[in-house]
Amino acid sequence: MILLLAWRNIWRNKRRTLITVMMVFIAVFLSTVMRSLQLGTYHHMIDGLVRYTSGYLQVQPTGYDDDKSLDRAWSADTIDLQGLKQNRQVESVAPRLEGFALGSYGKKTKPLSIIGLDVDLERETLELNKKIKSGALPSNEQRGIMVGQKLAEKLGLGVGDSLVLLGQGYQAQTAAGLYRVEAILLFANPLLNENTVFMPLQWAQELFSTGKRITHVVINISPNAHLQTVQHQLTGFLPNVGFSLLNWQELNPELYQGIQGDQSGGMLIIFILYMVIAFGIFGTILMMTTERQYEYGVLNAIGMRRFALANMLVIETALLALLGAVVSLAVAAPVVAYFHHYPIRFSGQAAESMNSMGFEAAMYASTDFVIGINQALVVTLISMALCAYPFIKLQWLKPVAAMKK
Amino acid sequence: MSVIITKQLAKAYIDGPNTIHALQAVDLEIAQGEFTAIVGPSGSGKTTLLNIIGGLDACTSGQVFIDGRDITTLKDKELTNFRLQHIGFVFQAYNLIPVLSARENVEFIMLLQGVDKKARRQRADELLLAVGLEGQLHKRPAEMSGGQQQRVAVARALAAKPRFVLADEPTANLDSESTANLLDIMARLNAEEHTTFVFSTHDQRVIDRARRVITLQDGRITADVYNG
Ligand SMILES: Nc1ncnc2c1ncn2[C@@H]1O[C@H](COP(=O)(O)OP(=O)(O)OP(=O)(O)O)[C@@H](O)[C@H]1O
Ligand SMILES: [Mg+2]
Repeated sequence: MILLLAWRNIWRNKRRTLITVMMVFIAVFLSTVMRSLQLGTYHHMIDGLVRYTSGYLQVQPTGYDDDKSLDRAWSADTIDLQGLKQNRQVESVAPRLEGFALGSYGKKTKPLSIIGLDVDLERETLELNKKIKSGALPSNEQRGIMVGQKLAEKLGLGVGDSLVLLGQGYQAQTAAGLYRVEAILLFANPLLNENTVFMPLQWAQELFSTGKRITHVVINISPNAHLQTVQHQLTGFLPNVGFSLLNWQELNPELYQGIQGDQSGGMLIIFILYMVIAFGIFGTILMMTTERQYEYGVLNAIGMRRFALANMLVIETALLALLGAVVSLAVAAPVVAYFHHYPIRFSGQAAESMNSMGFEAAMYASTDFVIGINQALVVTLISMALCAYPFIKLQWLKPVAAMKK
Repeated sequence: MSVIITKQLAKAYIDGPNTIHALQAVDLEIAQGEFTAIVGPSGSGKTTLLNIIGGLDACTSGQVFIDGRDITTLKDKELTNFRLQHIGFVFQAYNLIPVLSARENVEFIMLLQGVDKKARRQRADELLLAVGLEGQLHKRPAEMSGGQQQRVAVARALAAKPRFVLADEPTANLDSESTANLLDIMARLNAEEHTTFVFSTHDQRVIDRARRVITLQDGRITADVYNG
């Protein structure tokens, strides 16, 4: 009955209630959509880059991250790859060899990152088939390469053309070779699309003269898994000394910090949004209490405790907030779903500048429901916290004074 | 034993340099089953007296015993609960919660007392029948006349099974027909259920219905008369 009373009380002033609900609606809706786009975009950005480059997690000889020298290449037999694969969150455990070389075709030359990988092993987790723009993936035995679409465009490469790679290999040996382009892949991430060459692991080993050695092992896990937890679980499988298990945030601090920085900007906007509506809600709460002094006086006189009166006010406020929150989640859900399926793509100068910073010029929406629930919860809690002032004031209510008109 | 006893009750308001003695040395005893009117000119202290007896306001000095218990010593929280359990109130107007129906208004006080739902409903309907509002159970205060609202307020006051009902000018906003009607109901409840009523009034017709009339003047009892 208290709930029913609270519910009816909020509808005593329909217009005010609708305005308040509307404010909550706008705040929760905007913050949910903004947050979904933000987190969805980060998620996509991370997944679209990290899988191919550092991996979500990576096993490497300690120190390799600071000095990516091929001279640190090591034999993969040293560690228990099978053991690492036992973890349910792990999607793939893949040895890689990474080096650098100049790539030339015709008159054009570009510095390139060369990634040697086990094509069969990583085909699935990297969704390589889906990336093919033209050509076909080379088998592990095939001495061919895969290049990003933008790189192909810049150098004027097509499938079947041969790219000259020239660099320094293991222990200062010369690394040089002519590699046929087997596939042109389309990556969303500009770094991968323009500056990276993929080739079967054994041919990379041949190019850099490392023998059977590799530089690191990439462990890709489910994007939804908790990174640090899995990292911690897997550490036990490594030899005690000589090897490190690093996560992408450690391996790619620029990306991580960039996201953190960008995130705080978005949070600030949401914070300001919340502040603005907090004032509105506070006004409503104040009006709700001041205009009902007489009634509070009567209720206290007949035996309703002040605490119970104040609680009812909190319930009324929570109802207002929840009402707005529920409506906004209902409206936000299809909007978020829409942007999830149809990402916002930028064009023109904005796109150029984003690409040049290594970011894909698009925004994706995360459909993680927790985002919306969090926003709804925050607004509801803020509203309830705003009741503190009238709540405390009500504790001083004197029925005789309150009923004096 | 008397339900209400006041001893040397005084209430003073400090108003700048002046002290207003709203009540002075009020000694009063009201027995179970009385039907008592407090009368007196405006400003004589009727409301002040009822508020202090009802535990709504503190006195400056003196004591108020309800069933032998000195309520002036109760802490605020205890006092609120004491009012809920032992005292029924009818105010001059706007007694009811506007968003609740007649029945819900009567049920509400029993909800505060922790009476279970079925018993609440049953007692509310009985009481509304007793005040002649069996047909208005679902009406909200705004849909009822002033007289009907006051009858709901009487039903609500009784719902809590109080030791007595205090009513400060319950008929002040009513026309003569509604006034007579409300008085009939109160008198009947008094006669049949032995409910103790203490009410203040200016209205001679109401005074005529009282069985005991206490007159206040400048905060002192100047007359105390039993009408047969
Ligand atoms: N809060 C207050 N502050 C100062 N003086 C007050 C206050 N409340 C009441 N008084 C004074 O106390 C005296 C008694 O007031 P009270 O309201 O009890 O009179 P009353 O008999 O009920 O009058 P009425 O018939 O007009 O309702 C009056 O002089 C009034 O001005
Ligand atoms: Mg008065």
